[in-house]
Amino acid sequence: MDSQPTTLLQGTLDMLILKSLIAGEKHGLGVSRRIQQITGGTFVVKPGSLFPALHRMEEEGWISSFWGESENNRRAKYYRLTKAGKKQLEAETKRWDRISWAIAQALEAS
Amino acid sequence: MPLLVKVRSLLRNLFLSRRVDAELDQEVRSHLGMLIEENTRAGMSPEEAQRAARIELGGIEQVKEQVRDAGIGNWLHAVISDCRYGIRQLRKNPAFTTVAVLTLALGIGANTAIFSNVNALVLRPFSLPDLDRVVAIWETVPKQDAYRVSVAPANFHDWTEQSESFEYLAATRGWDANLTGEGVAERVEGYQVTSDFFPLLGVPAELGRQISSVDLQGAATVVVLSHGFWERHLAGDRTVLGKNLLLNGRKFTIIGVAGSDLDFPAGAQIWTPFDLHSVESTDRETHSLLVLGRLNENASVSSATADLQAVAGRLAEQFPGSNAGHGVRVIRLAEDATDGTWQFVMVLMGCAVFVLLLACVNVANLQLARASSRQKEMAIRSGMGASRWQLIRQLLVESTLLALAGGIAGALLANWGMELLRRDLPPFIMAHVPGLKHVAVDLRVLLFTLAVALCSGILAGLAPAFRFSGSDLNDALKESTRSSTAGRSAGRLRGVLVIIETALALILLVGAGLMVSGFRNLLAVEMGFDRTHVLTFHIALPQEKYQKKDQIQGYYDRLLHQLQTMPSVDTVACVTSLPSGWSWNWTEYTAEGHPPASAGEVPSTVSQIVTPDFFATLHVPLIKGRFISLADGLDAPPVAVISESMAHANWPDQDPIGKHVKLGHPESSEPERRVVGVVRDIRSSAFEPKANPTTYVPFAQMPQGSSAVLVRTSADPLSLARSVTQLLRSIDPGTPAYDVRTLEQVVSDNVSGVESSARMMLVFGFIALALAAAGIFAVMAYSVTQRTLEIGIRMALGARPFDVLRLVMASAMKMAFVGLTFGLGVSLLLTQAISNAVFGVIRIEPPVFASLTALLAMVAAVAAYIPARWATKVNPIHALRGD
Repeated sequence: MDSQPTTLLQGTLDMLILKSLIAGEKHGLGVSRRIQQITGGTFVVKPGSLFPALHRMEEEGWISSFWGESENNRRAKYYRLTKAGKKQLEAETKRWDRISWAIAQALEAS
Repeated sequence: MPLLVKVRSLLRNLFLSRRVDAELDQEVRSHLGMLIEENTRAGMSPEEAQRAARIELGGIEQVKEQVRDAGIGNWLHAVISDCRYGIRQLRKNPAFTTVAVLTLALGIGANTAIFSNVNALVLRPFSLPDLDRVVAIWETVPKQDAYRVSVAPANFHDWTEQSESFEYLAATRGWDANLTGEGVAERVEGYQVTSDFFPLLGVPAELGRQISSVDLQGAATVVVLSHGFWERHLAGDRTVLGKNLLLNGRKFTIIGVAGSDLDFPAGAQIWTPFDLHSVESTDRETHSLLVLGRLNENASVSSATADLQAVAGRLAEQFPGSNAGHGVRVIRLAEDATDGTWQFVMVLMGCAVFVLLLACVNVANLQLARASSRQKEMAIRSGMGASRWQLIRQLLVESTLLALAGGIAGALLANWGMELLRRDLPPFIMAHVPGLKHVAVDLRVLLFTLAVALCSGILAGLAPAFRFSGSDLNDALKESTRSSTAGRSAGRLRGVLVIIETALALILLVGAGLMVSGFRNLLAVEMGFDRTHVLTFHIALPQEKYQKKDQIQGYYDRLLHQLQTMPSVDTVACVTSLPSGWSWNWTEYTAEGHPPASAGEVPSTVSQIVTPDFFATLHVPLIKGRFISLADGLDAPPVAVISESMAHANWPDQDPIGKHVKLGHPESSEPERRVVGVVRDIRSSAFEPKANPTTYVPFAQMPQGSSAVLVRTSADPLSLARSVTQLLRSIDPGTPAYDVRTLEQVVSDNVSGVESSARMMLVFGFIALALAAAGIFAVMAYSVTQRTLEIGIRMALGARPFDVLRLVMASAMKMAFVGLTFGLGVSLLLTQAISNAVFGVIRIEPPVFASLTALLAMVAAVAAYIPARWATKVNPIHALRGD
């Protein structure tokens, strides 16, 4: 945690969570650590944002949950991507590409 | 699919909330556990690991609260728990709750009561299926400003043949009859109807069948009874079909009983067949029919108007003598029948909304006062992880709970209040104002009440909610209950509420004052006749029995003579229509010295057929010439007495005595009448800005089977009623006296609509005054307790009690003054805006405005004086020492 965590843009948290679950099911801490890892430590998702997001996304039907055992035999709630979730990730990714391209253009313009 | 997931989650949250909560708890705890493990693995000591993990997690309860806040199912669950919590809070503070609920009950109840009137009188005056497609159709004569002319039979006939916009077209006309036979003779209100009348209305019969084309062959003597008549007169006997009713001395066979919903025309008791074709298919001059239509699927009011207007245009060319200048007006029946009612009902509705706003402001005020004592509670909730929105929601939920309780109480209050209001309505009004019988708190009214309650809950909760959640809650935790600076912004908000309250109260007071004064003005209008000590009633001789003029004259001679000889009777007279009654007999006329008017521009006069003593009975003074005398008989030269305005309209600069006037259509066979006298104008109604030009014709020269009778007595007129009814029975048991009232009653019944509006507004005015007084008192009392320290310091520094009194009073009166100014402006604008709509009953009356403003200012002063007195009693030592 050497770098200063950056505030997440609205809407990007969902995308990152979906992305982190693409490799397979994870519990909350797993999701959090995976996001930290794939963003090079730029984003640290605190439980206060993570859990509301997970529950909301479950209600949206993008992810589903089940109880399982963690690496250290601790009972933990696991989340996995659903079909709708995969679709959502594709849509979010496209949207994000568009936005980041547009912003890059804007910054390059003199 | 996502929807299914959502529903499942909603249900889970609703019904398995405990399990959902437990799982969430477990999830967060396991997360914490894993964090600690992670930290330990990274080499931290167990204590350090625990600490770091807790910092990262940020508190189990907070995380859970945030999760609960996220989902839709959770949201509902949260509202339910807010409700539970709210109810607990409200029960903890019964005094506050009672006052708030009662206040809201007044506001919501006022709306429920008035809306039930709007519902019955304006929205659904008749319970007919597809009421929106039922229209009334009138002829119009734009050049005479006449837009509600009854239809001539031949015109109706041509409309039926040539128009294409209607599923049904039907005509009806009044056919009141004397009911004799078993029991006492009685007048029943009846209508003759064409065969499409019942299919058009579309209400199935309760019993038997309704009038159809079969009955019109040769005008069968059959009758359909209204539901009310059947229940009252025949005790709801289901075997009445085929039995006979003696109407005007003829037997009519009962073929059916109409459904209880069918109340058209309002007040109808019986319906008989109306065979138009055989009798009157060429008559274009007797405008006597009320015409109804049911639009077909693709017609609208405007397309139907265009359709009929085209027919009328053709008829005007074809029959210029009778139809030139005549147009057609199509209007929704509901709209047509409620004119004159809805204006007043809507004014009342507006006032009810103001009462509600006032109630909401008061409750908002109460909640604000309560706010300070709850600041710590809010701060603690906030510390426990509640967001700002959650605190607002909690307060709105509490406010809504109050309003729902107020709504229930209000509906009960409205139910009771309406009974009170309807008790004094004259039976005539009850029967003839469409929808009045159906005024009740029904499902639609209850839904309205619920909506109003929810809105007022939110309204009354908004100010306190935002005020609360906006303040820095951390400060609140530290703050003691006593502080000289606390609640500065709350104080300002409360000041604004007091201003709004004063303004609203003034608007309502002025409205009530103007309506009451308008009603008094109507009663005080110089009618042109002496309404005291006169008994009135109506008679209608059945045509079948009294066909010849001398038979009619004979009956009335006997009647008037016998009435005259009754003890305490001064004079007796007959007249066609009662002054200030409901209907007038207008007729066209031609006056000497004026060229024959072109078709469509013939002037009209009210024609009154009177016996000689009419003027003496009503104390109408003679201006010129002579009254009608006994010598003006059937064989004497035809004469007439005219009213001042009639004389002025025709012979402004000449002596009208000796001029001639011919009543009726210019080409009719009526004789020319010589004008023998001019009398003072009589007002036809208190609402009319001026008297109608009137022509009085001797009864003996034009005997009428039906007439109103006036009896002037030195005794109480109603004490005569019994003996008069008996007298009539002894002369002819088949002709009952009906509609027996004193003339004073006739005049006041005419304005009874305004009277009940005025009474309702008066109630609103009192509520407004009470609420405003309570509101100002509460705010001032609260501000005095808040300022105890300040006042104590002032007194310690040498302020005298009078200075303190002045200080407190000044701040109260400043608010009151702003409110009064604001309220005065708004009520002036409102009065101006609605003055025309309510027939000038309400108009700007400076004395009313001035006196009520003064009254409210005084009430405000008293309400502020009491807390100001308390302030002077503040003991500086105690105040400075602390709580």
